[in-house]
Amino acid sequence: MKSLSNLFNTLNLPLSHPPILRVMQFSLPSRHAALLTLILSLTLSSPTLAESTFNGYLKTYTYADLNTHNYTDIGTRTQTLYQAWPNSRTHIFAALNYDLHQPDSLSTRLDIYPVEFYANLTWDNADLKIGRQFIFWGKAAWVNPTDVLNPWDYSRLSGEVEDYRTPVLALNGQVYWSQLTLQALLLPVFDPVTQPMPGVTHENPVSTPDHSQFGLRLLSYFGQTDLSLSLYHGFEQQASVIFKGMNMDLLIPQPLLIARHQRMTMIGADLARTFGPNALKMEAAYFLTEDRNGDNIYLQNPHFDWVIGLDRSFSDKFSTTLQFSQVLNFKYDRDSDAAALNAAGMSSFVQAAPTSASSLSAVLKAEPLPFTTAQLVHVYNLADGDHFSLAFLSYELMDAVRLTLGSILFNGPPLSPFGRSRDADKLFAELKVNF
Amino acid sequence: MKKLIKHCLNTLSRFHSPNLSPSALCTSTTLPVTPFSSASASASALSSASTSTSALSLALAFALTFSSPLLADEKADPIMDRVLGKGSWTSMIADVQLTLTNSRDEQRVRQIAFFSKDDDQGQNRLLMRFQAPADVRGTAFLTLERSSGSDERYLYLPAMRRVSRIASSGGGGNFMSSDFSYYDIGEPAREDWSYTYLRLDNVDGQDVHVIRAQPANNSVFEDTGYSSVIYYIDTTAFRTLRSEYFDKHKQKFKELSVLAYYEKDGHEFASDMLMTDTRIGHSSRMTFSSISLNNPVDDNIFTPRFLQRAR
Repeated sequence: MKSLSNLFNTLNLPLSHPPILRVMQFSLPSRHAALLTLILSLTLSSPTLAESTFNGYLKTYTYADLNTHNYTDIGTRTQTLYQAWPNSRTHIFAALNYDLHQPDSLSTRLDIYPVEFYANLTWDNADLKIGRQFIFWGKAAWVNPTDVLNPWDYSRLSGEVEDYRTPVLALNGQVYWSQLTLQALLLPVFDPVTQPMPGVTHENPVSTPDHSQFGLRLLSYFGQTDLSLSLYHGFEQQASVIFKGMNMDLLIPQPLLIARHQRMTMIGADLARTFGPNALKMEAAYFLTEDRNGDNIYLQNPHFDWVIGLDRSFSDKFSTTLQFSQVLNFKYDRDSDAAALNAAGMSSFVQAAPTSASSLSAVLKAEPLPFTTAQLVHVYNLADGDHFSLAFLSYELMDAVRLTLGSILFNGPPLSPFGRSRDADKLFAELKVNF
Repeated sequence: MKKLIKHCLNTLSRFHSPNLSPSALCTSTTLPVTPFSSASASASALSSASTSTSALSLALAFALTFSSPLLADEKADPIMDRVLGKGSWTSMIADVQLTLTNSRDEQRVRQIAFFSKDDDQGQNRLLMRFQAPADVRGTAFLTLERSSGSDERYLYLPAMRRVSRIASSGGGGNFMSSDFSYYDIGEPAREDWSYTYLRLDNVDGQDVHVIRAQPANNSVFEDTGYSSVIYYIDTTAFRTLRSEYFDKHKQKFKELSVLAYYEKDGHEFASDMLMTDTRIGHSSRMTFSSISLNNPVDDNIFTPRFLQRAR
């Protein structure tokens, strides 16, 4: 069932982004150390001095809470991007973020963490990318059933995907054959973005080979049509919340809740086809979850997610995307779930999910003035009437210098997915200098 | 869009035809070469006819009026055949500097690595990868010409980490936010346009043929957004020195000036062009440098997968 798992779809909570180094502290998890060692080995194995580049950006940002009128985060991010080509077949890519920021009025933090950090080995008809990387699946916009690899960090929504998606550690092999590409993935660890909640204990899968994840994807580029088939065996990015009874030790008894990421297998497909200024995009995925028979009210039922959308380019200065998406829960009896929730005393926290949930989404992109871009993303859930908007305007002050102003807004009933985040409305401003 | 960037170059190129000399062009019609276009001459003659009592003038005007379209085509087509004749190059590597200037004279400069190559069927493939400024470095755009249906277009945005198939922008959508449309930088199919010889004129001291191109059908108009284009073509070298572009309301809205030509080893094309949007005062200058023609270019780079692989 989906209702309890949706409890975690709250966007107004501070997230535990995985900092590697904080002020006066230094730590480097073993998997990053191993990766660094591998990359250095590849670099040093080159018979000649590696060709390399050093770039990056400096970004000053301010996030303000629209409801409290307080700054929620002020800081400066420096990203250093080092690339090297030790030989014609090897590419080293290392992007590190240095965040000096004030997440609240009492503290200043320096977080240093890798964004992407990988070695890419290339042959004529194959690639092997090893390391921490982004792997995006799917062709629709924002609502992607097959995009199950990189976790979302909803508290960091902005105009840049790097801010709100987190890379995964993976072995990513691709083999090319004519118009076909076969991609095979091995993710040795599962590292979700978790959202701490009072009274809820997280149980993340431990990083052992037993918890590895696997993926396969076959892509084709034929004429005006792109098509891909995907298979993934891993974990749900969204944890299921399991009710373990009431904690009677407190003055006011509270439910004992455990958040756990369930195993799932996803079988999906996506398609993009262009017709002149229009592009049809479709994406669908069936998720076989641990609750195969639908008899565990705390786990996600097997479900089928699909989306269909149309992109239209009116000009290079204005384009739109309109999409309809739906989630269909299988082996699900809403009445019995509602009764079970009521019996567990949970009905005041969550409501039973509908058997099917539909939503509409739109993306508008425009260049209203020279050197200026604007974008609006809007998602509206039909069942609950809740919605989310991300809008931003970006102006290129000079070459490689950009000012961005934006807003993130949520609205809807209190228990709805976006309604829960009504207090997380934000305005943001960013000044970014690339070098 | 046909032939991609080659149009921008070849429209303005010289095609050395042994059978047709400039003087032959000027004498190949039954009309005398005058500083006026045949259409203008016709209009002038008609105007004269309405006020003149001369039967001869009236007869001449009548004859000119009804014979001028055919005569104009006969004169315009050979010129455009020379102008549009394909160059001999099948592949090209170059650096392109694209300078965008707004109405307040603020400039933004993009540096682009440019790769173009015809495939075995003669269809053009074009890859452009931004080198600067730093915030767009790595952005790549791939266009694969298709003889039937729309061309294939792919965009790779490093920030998004994925290659996206993109729909073409109707109405001659702009190329990389510049004032050049994708159609401007493509070679038009000869049959997509009908050409009318307008007049002889002078541009910066240079005698030019003035030729109007009009879409041969509505789909060409919808694809380009141009109701007509007027070319000013050097009478001796058959280079287009200037072009004017008219919208659906038949209002001029863009103007192209060619600032320099590349000429080497028998190859010749416009290598420095300035396109100005006359309505908003925005302009774009496209300058080619480090040009390499007909040297080997790996076919694999013109594939979607290569977009995110290359440095």
